[in-house]
Amino acid sequence: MTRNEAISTHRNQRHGKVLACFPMQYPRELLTALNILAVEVWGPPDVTPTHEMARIQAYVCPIVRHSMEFLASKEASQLDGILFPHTCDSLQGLATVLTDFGPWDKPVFHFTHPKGPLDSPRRTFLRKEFQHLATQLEEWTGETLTLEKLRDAIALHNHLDSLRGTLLEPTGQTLGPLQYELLRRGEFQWPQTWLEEIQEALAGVSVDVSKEAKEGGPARLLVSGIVPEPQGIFEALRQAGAIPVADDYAAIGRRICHVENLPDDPFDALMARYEALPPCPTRGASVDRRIGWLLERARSAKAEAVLLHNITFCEPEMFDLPHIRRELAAQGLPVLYMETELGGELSGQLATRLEAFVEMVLDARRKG
Amino acid sequence: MMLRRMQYEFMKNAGGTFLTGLQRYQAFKKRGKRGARPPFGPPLESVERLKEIMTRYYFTGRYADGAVPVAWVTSGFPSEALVALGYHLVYPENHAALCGARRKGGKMCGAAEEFGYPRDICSYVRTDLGSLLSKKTPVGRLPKPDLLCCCTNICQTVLYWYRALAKHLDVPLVIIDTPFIYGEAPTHHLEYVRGQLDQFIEVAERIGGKKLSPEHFVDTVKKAQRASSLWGECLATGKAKPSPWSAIDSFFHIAPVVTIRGSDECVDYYQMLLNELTERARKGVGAIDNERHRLLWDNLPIWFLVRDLALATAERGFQFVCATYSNAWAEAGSQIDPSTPLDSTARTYTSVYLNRDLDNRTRSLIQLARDFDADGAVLHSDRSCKPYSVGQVDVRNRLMEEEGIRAMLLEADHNDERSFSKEQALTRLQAFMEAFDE
Amino acid sequence: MSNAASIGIDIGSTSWKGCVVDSKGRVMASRIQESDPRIKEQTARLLAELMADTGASSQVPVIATGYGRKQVEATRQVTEITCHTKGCFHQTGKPGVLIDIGGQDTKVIHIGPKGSVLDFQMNDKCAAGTGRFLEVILQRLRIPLDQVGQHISSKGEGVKVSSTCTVFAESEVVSLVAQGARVEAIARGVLEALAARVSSLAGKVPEQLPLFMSGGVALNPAMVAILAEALGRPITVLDNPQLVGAHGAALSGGG
Repeated sequence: MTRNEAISTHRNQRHGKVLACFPMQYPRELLTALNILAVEVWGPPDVTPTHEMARIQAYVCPIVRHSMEFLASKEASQLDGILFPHTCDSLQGLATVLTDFGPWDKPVFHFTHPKGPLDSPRRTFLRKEFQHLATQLEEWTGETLTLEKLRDAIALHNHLDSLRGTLLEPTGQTLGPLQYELLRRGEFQWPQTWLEEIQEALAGVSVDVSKEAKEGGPARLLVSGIVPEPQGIFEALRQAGAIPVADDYAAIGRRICHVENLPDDPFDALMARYEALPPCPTRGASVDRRIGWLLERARSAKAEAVLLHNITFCEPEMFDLPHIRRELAAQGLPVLYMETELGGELSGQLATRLEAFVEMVLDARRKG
Repeated sequence: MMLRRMQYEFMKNAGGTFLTGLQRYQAFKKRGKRGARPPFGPPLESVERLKEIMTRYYFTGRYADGAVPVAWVTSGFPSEALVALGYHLVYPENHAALCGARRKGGKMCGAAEEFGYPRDICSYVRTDLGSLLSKKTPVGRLPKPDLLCCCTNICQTVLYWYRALAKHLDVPLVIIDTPFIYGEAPTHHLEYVRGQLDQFIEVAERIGGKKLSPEHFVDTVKKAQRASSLWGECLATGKAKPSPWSAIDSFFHIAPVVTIRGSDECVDYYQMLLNELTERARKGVGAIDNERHRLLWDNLPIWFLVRDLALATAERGFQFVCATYSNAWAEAGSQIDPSTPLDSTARTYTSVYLNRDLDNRTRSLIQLARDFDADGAVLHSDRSCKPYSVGQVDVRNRLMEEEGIRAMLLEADHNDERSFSKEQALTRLQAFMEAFDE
Repeated sequence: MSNAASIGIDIGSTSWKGCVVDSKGRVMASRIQESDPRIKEQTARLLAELMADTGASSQVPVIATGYGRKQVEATRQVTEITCHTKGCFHQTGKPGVLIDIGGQDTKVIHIGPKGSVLDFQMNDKCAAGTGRFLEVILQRLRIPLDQVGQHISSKGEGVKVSSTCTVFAESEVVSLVAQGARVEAIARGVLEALAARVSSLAGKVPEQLPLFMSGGVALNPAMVAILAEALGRPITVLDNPQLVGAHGAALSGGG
């Protein structure tokens, strides 16, 4: 099902509103409970630049520049509103340019997540922020958010996250373009439908229990970064002789938060799920926590190396880089850093870099 | 410890000389005056005092650690409580700007890049991390911090920056997270900032080893508020024609209100500056000899280019009379209400210029242009500062279409001269100025 | 019966390099030529010459590297990073840091005690810090790349060229010329700017590790000297620095 089909199905069959959601962290459970379809905007990768994109300087991240173009296009008319989480300066800038200087004239919502460790002022604030957003969305949709609806939505998303985790974990050997297509479908799919799609996919997948690097097998990588675009990245990895076995992309693995025993109070449950999220610089997690998390992910997936794949001009990811590189290397995990634009093809230079990196990893494996 | 403390106190009250970017800028202006066609008016006398204050500030810093608690803070951090608790404060942004004005920015950025920080990170950050890693600074030495204090009201970059500092220095970090304001701030946002302030004061007390005296705190808040108000009045003298000083001057004279606000010295300094500026305005003494056009400056200064900019504009009778950058320091600080120090601190520091939506910022910018009767605007499109720069294309169009103010975007970087072509930039600026007289 | 064990070709953006090695990895014959945009034709022609020189049969494996490696038919394709490492280790037999300044890419490779790549850095995004940077800027000054040594002023006399971006640096150089700066002083400034960029790419090199250099720019003693100044250490230029990649490719043929 394509993005457009998901939108029209939602409108015609569930009669709900469609909300464009920006990267990366927002309480999707609230949206589901209020029958709002979240359609995430990570670019999109391929847009035709006009004067709209030129409104944002070329040194700003392509997610923001592409989004400017997209939201001014006809295609954006299918959206009823936008939700901007407070992720970074550039997205915040987009939010204000778009509403203060147009062309966006439909409703805009904001979700401000606290930056820094979740201490008591931050917990109080986050809870109020959830409630604040809930109230605004209730007013917008005319729907009432019952505790029951919210509880169901949270349970659904929690289950979804558990399945997403499974899809990323034990099938490591097969994680590739197809899995990613399925994982990213959630960026526009109605959660219940998505859940069913993942269940179906998981039923047909053989679980590789060995999870070991095999002699002659591909190099096993932990991939991290913002979003796996251009999509050719996976084919390039495959050609270079590597596969992703663990994922910390902000768009994918970094948003999975399964909580075993959800608190009964739905707002407590929202808080618990938020707290279970993997560390991310955009929410102010310390560098050490991030490194610890990456190490743990790499070890449990038996990764041999790490690919940090950033989008050009994305500042939050850049600050951790030298520290991640040093500390992971000290643990025997070499790190390759690369930056790409969103669309188009992977440049020959980047492909060479990937290949050389894989040659290095495989050589190290051979030499033990 | 005692000895260290005595040294510190001694340095605090002693003078000293070292070359700052300001000195060079002033020396350069004087040289310009001896030229065949002097574009600049007589230099400000307060400059001597400013040099003294800043010299002592950095000089004292060398002896601060071990003598008094030391905090490294972002420029927008509510630092009044720290001042009242006797902390010596280091403002890495001010330090980076100083390096930039001395054209050391690129070299220091290079040192941070050698460590592995990518080039697209803000050049203030790279300058300071480069200075930290290479142990090189034009101020001799920066004292090691006991506490890092970061407030996100100027950008999110400081959040990443201070996380990195915490990693390098292994020092506790306080983050005051100020939600961005679209329109009006919801009550729970202000309560959130207030809650963090309370918590921050506890941490600062514990690390500083003493309790914050409410009287002392209110007194500090009053002084900070007074300094900000005086700063605003100083800037307002620029409305006179000719303007008694330029916005470029103000980039340097802003240093005390950033670094030592809350002290008597700071208040006294701005009183002195205000007297001088008022007198100049009364006598009709301008910052340049022949002021024909009045310009507004938007965004951070291009620290390594200020001298060239001053000359290029002055030579043609153009004068920067106001800047959103300098104004931001007058706008916010003066709103603190000493009768509700914590609540008003929370509100004030959340409502700073850069933490507000573009509509609000644009209205403030246009008001500034009107108040100062600017007929042109140069918007520095700063590669290193996304929060300040995103939206400038639309702001420029609005200035041109609705206000009839000629405006240009000048793409540069506030501190890294290596990704920049001076000739191209000055040629563009010249072409922009030529169009005024067609 | 020929001793040829394998053939390595390195198709770079500025030159085509190839060599034949015997079973001990010794170079039996080599070719270096300016790159022709018709890669396939040039490769076929030069390969034929190399085979004729050494009597190598068509059974001898051909290993291709360089940015044009995928354009030609070869037994195997290996990246420049791995090849330069092999070529370097064959000559030196010890760990170290190899700097290769190529036409399009500059690479800094950490070579381990067993001759493996431990880590590598490459310039990204633009030509800053590459041979292309030198070529463009020196052309502006009308200084032939191979004669730059005779045209630069001595240490401490250079003009500062602060831009490392090729486009910006070119405009900076043009304006320096217009201001009457000495060409020799500018040339030194340009070389120093490149050295600073490469040095930043290299990061902190551990004290005990020797520095090696390969690639065409290594033939330029002035550039090597200035780079050594920037890195604060002597640099050993490998024998036949231009051929190191092709040699390494040939050495990858043995298995």
